[in-house]
Amino acid sequence: MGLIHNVLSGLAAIGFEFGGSAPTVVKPRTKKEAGRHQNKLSQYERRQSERRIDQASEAARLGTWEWDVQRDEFWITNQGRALYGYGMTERIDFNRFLNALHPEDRDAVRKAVMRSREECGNFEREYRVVLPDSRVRWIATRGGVESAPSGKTVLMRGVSFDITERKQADECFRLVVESMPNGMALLKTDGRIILVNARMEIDFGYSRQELVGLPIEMLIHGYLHEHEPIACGGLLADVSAATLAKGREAIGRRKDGSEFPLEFSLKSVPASDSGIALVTIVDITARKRTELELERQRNELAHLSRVTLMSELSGSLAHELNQPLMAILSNAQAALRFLAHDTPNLDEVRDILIDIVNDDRRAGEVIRGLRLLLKKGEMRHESFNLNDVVRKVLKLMHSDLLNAGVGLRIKLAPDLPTVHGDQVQLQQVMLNLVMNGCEAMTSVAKADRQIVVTTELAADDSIRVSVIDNGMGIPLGDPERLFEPFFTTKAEGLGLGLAVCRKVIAAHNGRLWAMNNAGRGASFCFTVRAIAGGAT
Amino acid sequence: MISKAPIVFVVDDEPSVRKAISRSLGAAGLVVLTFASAQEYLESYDPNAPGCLILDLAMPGFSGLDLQQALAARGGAPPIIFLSGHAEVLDSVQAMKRGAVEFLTKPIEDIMLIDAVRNAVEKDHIDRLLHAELADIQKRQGTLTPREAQVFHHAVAGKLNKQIAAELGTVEKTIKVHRARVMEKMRARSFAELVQLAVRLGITFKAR
Repeated sequence: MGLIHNVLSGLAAIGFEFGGSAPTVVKPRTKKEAGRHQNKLSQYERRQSERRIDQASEAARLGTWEWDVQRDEFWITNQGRALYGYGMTERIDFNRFLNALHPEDRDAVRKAVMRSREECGNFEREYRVVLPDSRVRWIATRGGVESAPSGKTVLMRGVSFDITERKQADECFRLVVESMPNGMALLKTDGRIILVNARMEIDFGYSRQELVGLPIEMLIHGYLHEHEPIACGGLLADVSAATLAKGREAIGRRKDGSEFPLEFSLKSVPASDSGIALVTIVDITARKRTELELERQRNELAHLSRVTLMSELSGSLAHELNQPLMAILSNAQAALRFLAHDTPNLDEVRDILIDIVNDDRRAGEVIRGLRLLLKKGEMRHESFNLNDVVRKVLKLMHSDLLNAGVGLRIKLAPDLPTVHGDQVQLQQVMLNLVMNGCEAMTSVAKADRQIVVTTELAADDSIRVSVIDNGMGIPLGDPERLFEPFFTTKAEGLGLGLAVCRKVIAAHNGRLWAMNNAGRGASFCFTVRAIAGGAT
Repeated sequence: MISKAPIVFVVDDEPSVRKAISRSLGAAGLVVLTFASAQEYLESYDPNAPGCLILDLAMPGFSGLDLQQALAARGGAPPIIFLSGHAEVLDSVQAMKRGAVEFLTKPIEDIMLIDAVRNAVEKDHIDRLLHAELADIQKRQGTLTPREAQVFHHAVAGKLNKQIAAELGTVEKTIKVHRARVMEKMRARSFAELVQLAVRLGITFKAR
C-alpha cells in the first residue's frame, strides 16, 4: 500500500485531484483559447506530467481513467484496461464498466457512483471484477467528480488498482481468527462486544447475534479465587489500570448459567481511535482438572513419604511410647501393692498417681505428634518459632540417635523471629534431614558419629537451619540429584524424602540445599522466610 | 559374704522408669538400687554384692550391651535382665549369647519382672555357692603334694593301686597310703565323692 499511497500523492501533487468541485490545474485537452507560447509550454509540461504519471502508475499497477459523463466515454490507460479485462481498443461506456463487475456488486457500485455525482463527492469503493476467463479480481477504485458551474457533472476521474491479494489475505486472516481454538472478541471502551469469532459461540453457548452488544462482564463473571463478581465495565477498568497483557484466570459464565474456569488476556487495539480492546479467552477446564490431579498426587506422594518415614521411625516411636507405658504400669502395680497393705501409705500412692499422670501425658504427646506427622492433608498456616520445630523433632528422635550411637550438638539462635507456615511439614523436613544424617554415618566409628543442628538468622530476613553430619558425604557429582524424586542410596528407601522436603521448603518461600563439608560429612541447610518484625 | 541380702541393681537413663521400677520391686519386698548410667553403675560395682542387674538396652554413650561386655571383661557379672523399649532381634540374640538371663520388652508386668528378678537372684545365689564351693575344693586340691596329686589323677581315672604303683615305679602299699592321704585332704568320704570333686575341678580322665 505504501507504493500506491506514494503514487496517489504524486498524482495529487501534479494536479490530479480526487476531491470534489475545486477547479483543476490540468486543463481539458480540447481547450484552444490559450496563447501559442503558453500552449506550447503547457503541452510540454503536460507531456512531462503524463509520462511521470504513466511511469508511476505502471510501477504501482494503477489503472488511471477518466469518464466523460456527457459523452459517456471512458479514457483509460492500458494498465487499467488490463485490470478490468477490456480489449485494448474497445470503447468503454458506463454500461460496459458495470457489466465487467461481479453481478452481486453491480448495483451497489452504480448507486455509489450516482451518489458521488449528486453530492459531488469522492468515490471510493472496493468491488469484484469478472475477467473474460471468469476469474474474479478485487479492485479498489478512488476517484473524484468535476462539475460544470451549473452543477452538472462534467467528468469523473480516478485510479483503480488490484487488491485481490490483500482481499485474499484478509479472508484468510478472517478464517484464521474464526477458526482459532481460543475465543476472541473485540470490545468497545464501555466493555460491550462488537465482534466475536466462532469459538466464543461454542464456549459461551450464545449465538453471534446475541453476543454482539453484550457487556463482556456477562461472560467473564469474576476472577478465580475471588468471590466478588466483576462490575459492569470493571474488567476494562482493571485492565487499563494494570495494562494487563498477561493472562489472568477468571470464571466464565455460559448462557445457561453454568460456569467454567477460563484464562483471558486483554490488549488495546492501537489502530482504532475509539479505543477498542481485543480480549482472548481460553477455556482452562482441562488444565484446572490436571492441576487438581497434580495437587492430589503431590499430597499422596507426601503422605507416602511420611508413611515410609514413619516405618523407618517405628522403632524409635515404640521406644518413646514404651518408656512412659513401662513407668505407668510399674507405678500402678506398685500402687496396688501399697494399697494391699494393712496400713497403706497414701502419700506414696499420691506421688505414684502424679507420676502416672505425667507419664500418661508424655505418651499422649508422642501419639499426637505421630498423628500430626502422619496426617494427610493440606498445608496449614500458623505462626511459630523454628527453634520449637527443631526441639520437637530432636526430642522425638532421641532414642533413634541413641540407637544409632550418634552424638548431638544443638546450637539454636536465641530470639528468632516468627515464621509462618506448616509446623508439621517443617518437622517432617527436619526429621528427614536428621535421619539421613544418621544413616550417612553408619559406617563411621561410633565415637565419631555426631550431628550438629544449628539455627541462625540469615541475611535476607530468613532463618537458616543446618543439619551437619560427620558421615561419608554426598557422592561425587551434582548434589542437586539428591533432590530428584526416586533418587536413593538406601536399599529400602523410596527416594522421595528429599524431593518432598524441597517442595515443602519451596512452599515456605525458602530454599533447601546440600553440600559437602570442608572436612568430613555433609551439611543440609534450609531457609524459611521470617515474618517481618515478628520476634518471639 | 553369701549371707548378704541380694540387691536388684537397675540401670536406666529414664528417671521416671527408674523410679517406677524401683517402686514396683520395692513394693514386692526387694531391695533396689538405681543408676542413671552404665558408668555410674560401674563406678560403684562390687563383685561381692549378690543380686541381679536390670539393664536398659538403649542408653546414651555406654549402652546396655556395652556394660554387659565390660562386666564380662572384669571376670564375672551378676545375672543380667535386659529391658528394651522395642525388641530388636539382633540385640536380644547378642545379649543372650553373652549370658543374659532374660530379655524383656517394656512395658512389662510387675509379676513377670519380679519372677525374672527372683530367678536371677536365685541363679546368682547358686552361682555364688558353686563358686565358693569350687574355691574350697581348689583350696583342698592345693594342699596335695605332687605325688598325691599324681595318685589323685590316676585313681579317679579308675586305675587299680597295682597299676598306679607300676606306672609311678613304686609298690602298691605306698600308693595305698597316698590314696588314703588324698581322700583325707580332699575330704572325700567315698571314692564316688572323690570322682565328683575331680569333675568339679575339671580333671580329665585319660582312658587307656
